[in-house]
Amino acid sequence: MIYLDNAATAYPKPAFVIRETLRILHAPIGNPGRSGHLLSRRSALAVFRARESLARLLNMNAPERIVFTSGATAALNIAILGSVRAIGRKKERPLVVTDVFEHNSVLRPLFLLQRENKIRLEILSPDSNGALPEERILSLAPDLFIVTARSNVTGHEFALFTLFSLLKEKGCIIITDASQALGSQDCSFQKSGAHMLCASGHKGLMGIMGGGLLAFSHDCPLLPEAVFSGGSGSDSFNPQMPDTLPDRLEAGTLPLPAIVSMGAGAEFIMKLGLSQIREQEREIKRILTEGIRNLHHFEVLEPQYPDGPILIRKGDHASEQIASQLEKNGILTRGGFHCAPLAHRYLGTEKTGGVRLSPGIFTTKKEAQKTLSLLHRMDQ
Amino acid sequence: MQSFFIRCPSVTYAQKGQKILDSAGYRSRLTKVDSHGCAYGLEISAPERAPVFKLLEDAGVIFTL
Repeated sequence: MIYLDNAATAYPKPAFVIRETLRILHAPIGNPGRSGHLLSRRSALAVFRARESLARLLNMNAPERIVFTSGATAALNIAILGSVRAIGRKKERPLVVTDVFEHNSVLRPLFLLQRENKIRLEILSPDSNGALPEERILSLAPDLFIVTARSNVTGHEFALFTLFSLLKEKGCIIITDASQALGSQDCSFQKSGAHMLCASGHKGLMGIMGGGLLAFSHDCPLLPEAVFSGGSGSDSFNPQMPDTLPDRLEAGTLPLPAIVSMGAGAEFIMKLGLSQIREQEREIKRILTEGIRNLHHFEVLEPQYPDGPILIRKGDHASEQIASQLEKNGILTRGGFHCAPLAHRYLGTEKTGGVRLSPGIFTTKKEAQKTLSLLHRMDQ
Repeated sequence: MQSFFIRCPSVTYAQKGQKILDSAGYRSRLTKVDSHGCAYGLEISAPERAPVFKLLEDAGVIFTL
């Protein structure tokens, strides 16, 4: 089997991540941050260590500014819905700007807010060079700007540090969806310039499913209002969620095994080095992209970027059929629309969808060559 | 050497405080407190309070006495 669906979830997980996750499952554990006894304290320590590992990966010195969630979708919902609520206390119907490459975990919360008449929404397309219209974004003066750090469809990345700086001066809150980038790209706030970062724990971080995170920069001028309310293990007589992070946004019992696996994933990544991971993945992507470009009937959807997945199609064939044919030959990819409908409309693939090939850190050159051989046969 | 107690708004702050104190050579014990709704705190052993408070404040640890 050749696994080329790492943009959906990383496989295989590193042995270190599996070992650390199993260790916490086998250990006597209590509910972290709830009780005062040994087992609860031990669990809380495991959560804190994971926070510290992830903070180091993000070059943050305040682990308490990392909020654990059940996944990137939950993180984005908290960031978006909670920020709009917070901004909405001062300004009616704030303007939110985003782009066509966003995943439905960004778009659907925004469409919900738009339907409820709580925001004004502008969704922008890149120009022919793949860049967002920065002058237009600045002239719009959004209250909230949400952008992906790397598209889950094409690997599209926008270089927006300067734009972020200018938007910040105008009081705009900036959220990035780093679900596809964290683990192979420097996603620190110093590098991105964003205020909030949302990410999944089981993709680039290589943890198990069930975890995600929402991180806040030091200069973030606003904290989202709580979207979920419930037990936090703190400030119990307060009818609202506590004011301080992370408890403010961590209602309910934390997914301890997923959190431990994310922390272990961060440690694994730091040991291997972001640059090595990126170079390995880039090399595989380069082999696949160049090979597919030489085929007659398969097409690589352009523009392509050095990192992230490759989207291909074969004429007007339905992408699911091609993915199914690949699977019959032992190659696992993803067909369809990848929960990013506007990206497919922009790329002109709204009828066929696309077959997404997403290699990971464990994909070998041999596997890439085997994939190309099969695609070559299917190209006849 | 005296022993005193600080109260933190969450277990995360208490843990952060404990780690900072530990790396500076101070001993502390993390406990749960229930006096004003659930919270966590640190029982700290140190010759003087002021340097401990400065360490915690410099690291952004939120606490009350």
